[in-house]
Amino acid sequence: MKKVNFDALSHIKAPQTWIEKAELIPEMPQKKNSVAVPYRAVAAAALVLVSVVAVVVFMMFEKPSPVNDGSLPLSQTEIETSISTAQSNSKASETDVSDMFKKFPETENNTVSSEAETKSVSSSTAPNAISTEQRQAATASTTEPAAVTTPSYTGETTETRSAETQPQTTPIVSTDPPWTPTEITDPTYGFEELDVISVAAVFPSSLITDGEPIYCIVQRRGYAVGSIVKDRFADYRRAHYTVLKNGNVFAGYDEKIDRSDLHGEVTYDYFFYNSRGEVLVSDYTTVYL
Amino acid sequence: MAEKLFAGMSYDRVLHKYADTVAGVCVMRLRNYADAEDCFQNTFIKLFQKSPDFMNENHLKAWLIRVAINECRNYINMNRRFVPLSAAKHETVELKENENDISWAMLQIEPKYREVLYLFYCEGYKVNEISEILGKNPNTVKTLLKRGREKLRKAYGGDEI
Repeated sequence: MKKVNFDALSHIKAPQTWIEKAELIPEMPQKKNSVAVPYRAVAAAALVLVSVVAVVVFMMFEKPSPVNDGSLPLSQTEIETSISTAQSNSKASETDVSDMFKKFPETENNTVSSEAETKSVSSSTAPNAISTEQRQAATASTTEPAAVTTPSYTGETTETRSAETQPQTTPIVSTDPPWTPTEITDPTYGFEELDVISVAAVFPSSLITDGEPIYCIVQRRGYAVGSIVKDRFADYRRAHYTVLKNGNVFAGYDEKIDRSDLHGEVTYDYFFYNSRGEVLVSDYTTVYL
Repeated sequence: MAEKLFAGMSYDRVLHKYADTVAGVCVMRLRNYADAEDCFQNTFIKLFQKSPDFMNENHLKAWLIRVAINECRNYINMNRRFVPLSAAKHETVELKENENDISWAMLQIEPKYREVLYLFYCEGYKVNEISEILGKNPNTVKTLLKRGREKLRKAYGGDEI
């Protein structure tokens, strides 16, 4: 019978050579933690890079707000440049600009009518011309004397008109297309100008002869390069104008635009020219859509 | 550069104090001095490189034993496919000459019993401490200890342990 003596196991001694080799361990080149630091550095750099790219992409796709854009008043000012010029001229001629816009139909009638009528345009103001036509149309009878309401006439003219032509005014308005009062749109600029832009310019009356029709071309800047306008003298390009007392001609033209493909600021160049193709005046207007 | 301290002891002091313990664990596990030496060196290399904070000497000793056991397991797993058939039949056991030696008997039983018996009887650890070192349940350690005794009795031929 043997008894187990575990003390014998304690006699397992580590060989001296093992210990000698283990003593040399501190002298071995130590492994540097060369992986952790670059890994952290790369991770931090990647995080920063992704953040910057995200911000840049966000800024690129951010749409500018048309309401809060500080440049909007400037564009609107540019649009109204021609109007301010006209206003300064109208002060000299003691005529309101807004009234002149409403007189375009009557003036247009004069340009397309007989030569005798055009003389009245060049020699007097629009209200007188209307009065002339009203006299010519006096044979037509009407029961609606309050149908015509053309403002800004002088006191004398209004009195004369009301006294002489009240019954005959309605047929004149209805028989002169396309410049009927219902088709006239007050010139509005800026936000509310959506589908039609109105351009206007002032030039000396010496550039045109009496009654000569003038035309206007409105072209979007940058889109008219190399294009040829074949219908320069089409009827729909005819501009309406009036001769001011100071010898200048105030011309206006309405252009329909397709705003479906327009974004931001759009500049239009427009040219008024006579029947011979000579440019009378040119300008540009900027519309913020 | 300041000298590294392990539970208040220098590396050389730790090496000389626990060299036999680590060597015993490695030899008991691998039954081969050549293989045991590799694990022995790796254990102390890890001690020096990792330099963990030890609460006391017992903690240090338990850490060394645990690392030595893991090194042996890794060594066995890595070299399992490369053991020749002849070596598998006739394992190299340097302690084989004296069959009366308990060390020889220990080498005849399976490693899982060997570890528990060695830690319990040779290193003087208790069941709970062995369970912490080996990462096993205390009841598992008790079972291994009981079965290991029976196997050791058969191998050694003793009546009681």
